Amino acid sequence: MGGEAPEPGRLTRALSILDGSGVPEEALHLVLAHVDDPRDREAASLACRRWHRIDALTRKHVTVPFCYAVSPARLLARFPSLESLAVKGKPRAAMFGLIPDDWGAYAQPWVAHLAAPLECLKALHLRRMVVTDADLDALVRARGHMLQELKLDKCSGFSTDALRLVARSCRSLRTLFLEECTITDNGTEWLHDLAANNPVLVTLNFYLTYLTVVPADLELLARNCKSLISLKISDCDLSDLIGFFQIATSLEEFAGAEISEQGELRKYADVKLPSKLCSFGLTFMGTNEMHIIFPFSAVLKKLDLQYTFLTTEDHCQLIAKCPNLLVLAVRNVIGDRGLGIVADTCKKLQRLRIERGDDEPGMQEEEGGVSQVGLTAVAVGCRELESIAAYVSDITNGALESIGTFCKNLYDFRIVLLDKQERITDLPLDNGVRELLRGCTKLRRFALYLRPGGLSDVGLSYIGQHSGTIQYMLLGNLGETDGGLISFAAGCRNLRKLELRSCCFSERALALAMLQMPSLRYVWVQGYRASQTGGDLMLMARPFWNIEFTPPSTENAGRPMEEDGQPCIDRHAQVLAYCSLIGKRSDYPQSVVPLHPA
Amino acid sequence: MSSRAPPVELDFLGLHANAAATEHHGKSSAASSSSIRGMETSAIARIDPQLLRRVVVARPPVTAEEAPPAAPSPMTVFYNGSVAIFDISHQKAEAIMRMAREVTTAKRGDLGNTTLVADSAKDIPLARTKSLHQFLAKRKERLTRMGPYQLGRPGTTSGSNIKSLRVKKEAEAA
Repeated sequence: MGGEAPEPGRLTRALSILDGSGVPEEALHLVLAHVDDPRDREAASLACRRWHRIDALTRKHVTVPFCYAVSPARLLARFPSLESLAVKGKPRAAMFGLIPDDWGAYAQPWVAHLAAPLECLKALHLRRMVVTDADLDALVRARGHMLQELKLDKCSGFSTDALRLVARSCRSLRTLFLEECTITDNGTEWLHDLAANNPVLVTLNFYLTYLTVVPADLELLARNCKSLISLKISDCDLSDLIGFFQIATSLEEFAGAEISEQGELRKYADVKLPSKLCSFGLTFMGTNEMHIIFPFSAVLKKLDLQYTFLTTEDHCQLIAKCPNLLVLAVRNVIGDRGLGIVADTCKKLQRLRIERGDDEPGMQEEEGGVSQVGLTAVAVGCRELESIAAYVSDITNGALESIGTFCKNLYDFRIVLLDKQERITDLPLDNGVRELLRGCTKLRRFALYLRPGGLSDVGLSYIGQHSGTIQYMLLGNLGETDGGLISFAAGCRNLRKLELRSCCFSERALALAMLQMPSLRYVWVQGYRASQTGGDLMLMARPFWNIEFTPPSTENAGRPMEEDGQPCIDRHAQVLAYCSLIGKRSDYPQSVVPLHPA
Repeated sequence: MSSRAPPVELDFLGLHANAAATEHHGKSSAASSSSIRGMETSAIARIDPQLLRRVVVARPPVTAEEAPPAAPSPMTVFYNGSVAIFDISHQKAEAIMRMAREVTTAKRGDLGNTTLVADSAKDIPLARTKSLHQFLAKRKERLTRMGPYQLGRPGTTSGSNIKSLRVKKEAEAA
């Protein structure tokens, strides 16, 4: 444009568009209706009152990242045309048994507002929330006729009775997702009712729910639901599904079931998996059963081996046959050897998850552990990787640098250094972390969980300095002093959600650091230099910022682990601070002390 | 220049204590002022201004109408061989000095006199997801039930799986 002033005519037109009066309302509606990205929507709603109103009327989907940030009434009143709502509740730590059962995150206030005023709502997704039978009853009464998608993700508090109600009342259900929910099993009728009443069902997932399954009900499901593409079930012997697989010819995704008896070749000989299957997982699958994957291994896109009994050699043999894999989830028994095969074979791999095997003496898996060797191989071989989550036994700066050099599409990177091996090859990881963050410019989510000495204060400042557009971080055992935390915080411009665990920082440093991060709206901390009252946390007190403190308990001192190997949750102090428009929540448990608002 | 409170010196790294031990200097503030002028002014550029400024301006900027009662006075920071001068209020200065004190005492291993619960890394073991925990428990159950020669047991290879099948067939034939 140079230094010219715009012609008067152009300027008037530009002004009238800004002013809005020149553009018809309907046009704005139509345009905004095509804007889906939530950040674009947020920006549009801030332009002026008119745009705010039109955004509110045309918004189709809202995700509430933390259920106590806003009031359901206010949110749902603002967006009357909402078609889809997602709400997240308990802190992520709940997945690791670190949050008490009575902590909160009740679905009731949300469900109560989903009735008549919301005429368009057809999809509800709740994650880590407490949902009761009464809640599902209310939901079904309000929206059952329109509900197409119900996803209860790691929720608890309801029974199969409520599922029966859903199955009988929601005739338009396309997706029913219940993965990892804790559900009281009062009978198997719900599945029968679902099969009988929901002919348009496309996705059914009750993986990892431990509900009893009757194979005949699954066969009915296959017969009635011709659109069924994805099924993930609880435990049920694979040999009982022979009939189901024969009928479900359109099935593309299957996970669950189990091999109840290893080595019984005759029992599973007649299992023929549907021809379109491209996503598969089978619990307790062993060396003698894995051949059932071979006929379709070449077209396999997703493979879940986390709950299998395969050895390192088995992984090598199987994965060598899967060149089209996009998503792979394994335990660390895959070993560096197996990761080498992944690097050579799975050139299109986008997501890789390496979970933690058993490290109890006597129970460990032979060759079970991955290190910088495997990680580097994967970085070099799988350039399309977007997401890596790995529990590693050893690591080097070089491996992290390789990831930074080769995995340019990475948006999610999480690494946990296991604590069994005494000597780690190359600590601290300051330079490697810096190079990874500098190289992976698309990173949005980052987790680094090491051990004391794993990352110095300088390394921690590198994370802040190169945090770029990272929105979520989990940091464990990082840094040496409060100074490290402060310099980290100085760099995190876009960080919205932070989780800290087992760190050496003082309460005062935590509070001051939180104040430095302009985008921060949620922070969770467990294990730091806590005081008995959390007093210094008040340094970060300010409007619309809630601070909840769980004081350290000396009750379980000297007994850091329960008998089943889970850590005692009461022992360590926890801090949860978050942006909220509704002030102090009224449903906090006894263990939690609301510091601000008090 | 308008009159202001005499400059307050904070020895972040115990430099003056060391200097006193070795040389037994009795530097007056006037003497140290003249030595500031003797230092390279480009040293100021070496401090990360973002870092220090963020520490100083921890709160949102205050508007002119809400000027704090304490008039801003200069605070001179000696750090790592460089120097910087900031015009800040007394409260902010106090906050910064408190924090710096904390950092240095932490470095020396002195936790102060407040009762603190120090959670060492050993006290907080790595947690496992519930689903994986449940799977590993079932795996353990199966392995201990099946005995030492079955599939998947540590120390066995796939070769011994075939062995176990043969054993089974022989048992059936017997």
